[in-house]
Amino acid sequence: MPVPDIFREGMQKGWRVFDGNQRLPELPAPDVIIIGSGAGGATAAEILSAAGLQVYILEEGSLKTSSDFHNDELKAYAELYQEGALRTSADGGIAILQGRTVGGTTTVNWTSSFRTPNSTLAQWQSKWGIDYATEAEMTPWFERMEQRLNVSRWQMAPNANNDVIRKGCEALNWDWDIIPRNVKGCWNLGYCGTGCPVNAKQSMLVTSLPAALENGAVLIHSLRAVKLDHHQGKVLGVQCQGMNGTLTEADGRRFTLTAPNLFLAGGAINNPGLLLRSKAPDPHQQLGKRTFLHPVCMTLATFPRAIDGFYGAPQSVYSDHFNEVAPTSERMGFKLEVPPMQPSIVAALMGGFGEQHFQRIQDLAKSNLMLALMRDGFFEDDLGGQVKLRKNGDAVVDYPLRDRLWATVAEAYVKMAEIQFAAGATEVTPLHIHGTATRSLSEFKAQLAHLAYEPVSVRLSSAHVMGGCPMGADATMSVVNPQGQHHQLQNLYVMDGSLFPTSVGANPQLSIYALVARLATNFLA
Amino acid sequence: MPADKHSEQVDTSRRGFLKLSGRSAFALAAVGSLVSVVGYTGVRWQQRASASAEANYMVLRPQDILFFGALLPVVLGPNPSFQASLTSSANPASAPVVTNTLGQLDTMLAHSSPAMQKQIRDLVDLLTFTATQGLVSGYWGQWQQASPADIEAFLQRWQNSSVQLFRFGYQGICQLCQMAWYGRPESWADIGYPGIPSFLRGANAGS
Repeated sequence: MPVPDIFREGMQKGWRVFDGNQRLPELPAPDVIIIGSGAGGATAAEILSAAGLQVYILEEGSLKTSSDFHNDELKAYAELYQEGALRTSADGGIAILQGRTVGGTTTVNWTSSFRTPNSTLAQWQSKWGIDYATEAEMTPWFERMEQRLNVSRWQMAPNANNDVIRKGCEALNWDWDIIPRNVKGCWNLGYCGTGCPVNAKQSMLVTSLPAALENGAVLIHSLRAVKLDHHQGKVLGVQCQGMNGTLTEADGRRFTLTAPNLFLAGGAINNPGLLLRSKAPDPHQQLGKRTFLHPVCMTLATFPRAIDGFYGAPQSVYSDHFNEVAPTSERMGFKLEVPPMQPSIVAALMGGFGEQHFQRIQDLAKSNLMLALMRDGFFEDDLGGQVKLRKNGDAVVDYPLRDRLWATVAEAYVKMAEIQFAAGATEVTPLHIHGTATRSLSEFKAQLAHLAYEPVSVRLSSAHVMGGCPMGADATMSVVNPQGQHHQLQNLYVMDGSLFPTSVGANPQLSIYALVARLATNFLA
Repeated sequence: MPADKHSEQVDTSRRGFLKLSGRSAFALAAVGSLVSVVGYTGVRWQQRASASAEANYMVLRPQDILFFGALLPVVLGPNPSFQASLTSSANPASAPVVTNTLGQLDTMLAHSSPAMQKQIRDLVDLLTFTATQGLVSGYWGQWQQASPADIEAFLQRWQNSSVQLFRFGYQGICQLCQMAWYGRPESWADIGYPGIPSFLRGANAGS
């Protein structure tokens, strides 16, 4: 192997890593059970285990490590993503990319590492009573996690796909900047989304989870937390069941684990799902509400030169030129970025069929996709989605698409096309069920006037699921308090992105790391 | 689009639903919503539609294989590698590109979720069950005998439909076929994708 697989090596040294379907050996009893091994769960596990607590980490996904990662898109989508990367909102209006593997989404994300915008913190403080949501209070936590995960502005030249944002924004005199990434010795390959084959991405899989395991933590993967047992304001234990081989259902061994404290870190769809299945107290009907997705709309551009967006760091340039809006605005703020351009995902995104689709995909190497990440949850009329249970107990997010979102899409389409044309694109197409290529901005705008803004017709995706267990000082409008502690179940804490009472307004991983680092440290105090 | 003209005249409120349901649930399928149509008709078809996967497949049933096998060449269009393999096969339905892509699709669905698997089964049932197929798709014959023009007309009908269920079905069919085929190395030469960096195909691959 050209690159050591540090996780497998650790297991050979004796880390306590088990498959949920295997019989567990005699183990020390847990002080804390953490459900979920992603950004939140692993960060909490490292901090608690370093303080000497016996931690169990439960993960529904399977264990895949660097020697399993071959940049094979379909293998990765099937094995490493929730619902095999085919997850959508309840009515199919938004496709949702979310990790389902040891390390959670951090194993497959594109490494963008932004601090929580100050305007977001300000709203959390003023509207949700989160007293520490200030730049001064949070900066030490951002710094700590940036150092831990080697976050720094990307030093190499951006690939041509990202450079479209720089070129276009420079021509238009709009703001743009370089993205900070959590990588160490990055090979600039471009396949972050299929799992880093060289362990350069400082995901949970190579940082906090190994540290926790070194500290004696127990990791049990391929294991679903089916239900929490609770009584008189306390969680007694978690009913678990082993997952099947394709991770679609829990059909394996059942057992119950108990601990004095439980942390939920299974993500913003699965956490509310587990609490709903458990019939957790919810006197104010807040559970599962305020689920935010940063819905993303896209435009496709063709250039007269090679873009080769399938290679090179997938995200290295962004623009926040339109990300801050006034309280009176009719639209949401949006952040502009690009996705990686590997063929399977791009083929599925670009739309059309037959001749039209082939014309588009044939130009893959000359194409650029731009995306506007819409900052949902900041207005009274923007409540996001709600997590509900399917008949079989699986969680699904119902996300109604409202006028404010359509107004944002309409504006974002135009701004993205402006950047793409300004960067030299010969054609730009809105990713809409009836979108066609246009050769100028005026032609593009004329086309928009004829497009219907309705579900499915506007192609929407999400890679950031937040909220659903919002924190707040007022128990009538939140699920947990600002320390992450459940309002009704006193030994239950939420420790991941499902805490956020709004979306973040930036790729959320660093917001999760910093917030959870703070909350887990306070838990110890 | 006959189905769409239809839908404009139909009251989709509760009262409209009750009026319509007297006619037939399948007529409702042409105008109705995802939940009511797929939910209700799904129950009715369980006796008729084959419920278990084809041998060597994890999820796809015989009718799914016939349906997606027939649609694949039209969805993928003039893709040279795909078309070359089709024309050089005695039986295009069993050309390697078709069976490999269906196998890929099967793997994708097998790793999705019970809800997604059911959605695809209901969709294919709606499009293959005699009583509903023509009404919702505009094509009445066997899919494996449909001409490319028939299939294009069906896809366009759903693409242009005012019914969200049909647009979602159109998008789902296209995306699944496109994801599956363009995830396969034999598709890459036609689209200027050089493939994964060579060192990853070497020592590290398959380890």
